[in-house]
Amino acid sequence: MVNSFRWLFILASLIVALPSFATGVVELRVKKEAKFDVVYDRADSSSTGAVIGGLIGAAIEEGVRGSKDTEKKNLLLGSLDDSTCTARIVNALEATLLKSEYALIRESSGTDSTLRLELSVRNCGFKMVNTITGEASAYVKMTAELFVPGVKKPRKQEVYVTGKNQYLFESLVSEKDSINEEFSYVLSKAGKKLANKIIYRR
Amino acid sequence: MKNWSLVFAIVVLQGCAFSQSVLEVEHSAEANFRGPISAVDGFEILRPVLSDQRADRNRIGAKKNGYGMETADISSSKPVEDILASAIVAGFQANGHSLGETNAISVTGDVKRFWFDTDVNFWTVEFTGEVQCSLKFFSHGGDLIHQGNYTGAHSIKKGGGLEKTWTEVMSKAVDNLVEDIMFDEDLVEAMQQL
Repeated sequence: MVNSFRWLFILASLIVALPSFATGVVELRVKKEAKFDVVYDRADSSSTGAVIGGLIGAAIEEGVRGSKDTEKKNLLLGSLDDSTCTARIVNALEATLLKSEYALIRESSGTDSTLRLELSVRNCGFKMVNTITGEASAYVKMTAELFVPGVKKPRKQEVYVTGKNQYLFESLVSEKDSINEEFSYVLSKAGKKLANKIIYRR
Repeated sequence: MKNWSLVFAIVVLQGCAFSQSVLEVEHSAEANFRGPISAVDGFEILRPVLSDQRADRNRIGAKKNGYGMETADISSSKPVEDILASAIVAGFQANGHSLGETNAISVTGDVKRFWFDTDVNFWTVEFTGEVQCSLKFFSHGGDLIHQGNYTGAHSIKKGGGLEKTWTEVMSKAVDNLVEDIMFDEDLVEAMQQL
C-alpha cells in the first residue's frame, strides 16, 4: 500500500513537472488583446471630408464612417458564436508548439533561461480587402516579440492573416456558418503561424 | 517664375496619378522561408505550372486620388503566375529541396488573387497586398499527393508611398504566401508518406 502511494506520488510529480521534459519552454505574456471589429467604411475612406471641411471635415467623415462600421459590427456580432480573438490564437499557438515538444506557460518561469513571447493582438474581425469591389474577409493582425536567452534584442514578428474567401458585406450577414468558419480559421492560422515562426526561426 | 514652377509640379504629379504603374514584384532573395517542410527528406520538384484565374487579370491594383476614385491601373512587370512559380521554387529550395527535371513532384495550381489596395486616410495611407493561390501536388506517377489553398498578405501604414513602397508590400505578400506553403503541415504529412 505504501509502495503504491510512493509510485503514485512519483508519477504525480512527473506530471506536474511536465513542461521541464519538453524540448523547450515558451513563456507567454499577452500585452494587448484586440476586440472584434469591422473595418469596412473606414477601409474605403478618402480625403473628401478634409478637402471640403479641413480638420473638422476630416473628423466628421471619420466619425460617420466609424459609426457605420459600428452598425456593421453589431450586425455580425449577432451571427458569431464566439467573437473573442486572443484565446483561440493562443490555443492554436500552444497546440502547434506542443507538437514540436515546446510547452507554453502563462506565468513567469522566474529564470532567464526560457524563451519569452510577448504577444499583442492588434486587430481582429472582418475588413474590406478590395476597395474596388467592396469585398471583405476575416483578418487578424498581431505582433510578437520573442526574447531568446542570451540575445539582447527581441526578435519581432508581424503576423497578418486574412481569410480564404472574400464576401460582400450583405453575404457576410446572411451566411452565418461561413463567417464563423472564416473567423475561426484566421485565428487558428495566426496562432499556428506564430508557433512555426518560433520553432523554425529562432 | 515661382507660380509657373508650382503649376509645372502640379501637372507632373497629376500626370503620375493618371498614368499606369508597373511594379517589379518578386519574392525577396533574403526572405527566410524555412518551415516544417524542411523536416521532409529532400525531394525534387518541377517548376509549378500555374494559371491566372483572377476575375480581373489586367491589373494588380488601382491608383486612387484623395477622393477614393480610381485614376489609373497598377500592373506587374511579369505575369503573376510566373512571379508565384519562381517564389514557390525558391521556398522549396530554401527548405533543402531541389528543382528537378525527372522523377520529380509536379505542381499545378491557380492564382486566385493578386491585389494591391490603398486606404487613403487624412494623415496616413494604408497599403495592403494580398496573394492567394490553390496548388495540387502530384507524384512522379501522377497520383495526387496533396492539394491546398494558400494566402499571403502584408500591410503597412505610412504618411505616403509610391511605387517602391507598393512593390515592397506586394513582394512581402508573395513572401508570406510562400511561407504559408512551407508551413502547411498537411503537405508535410503527405510528403512524408511518399
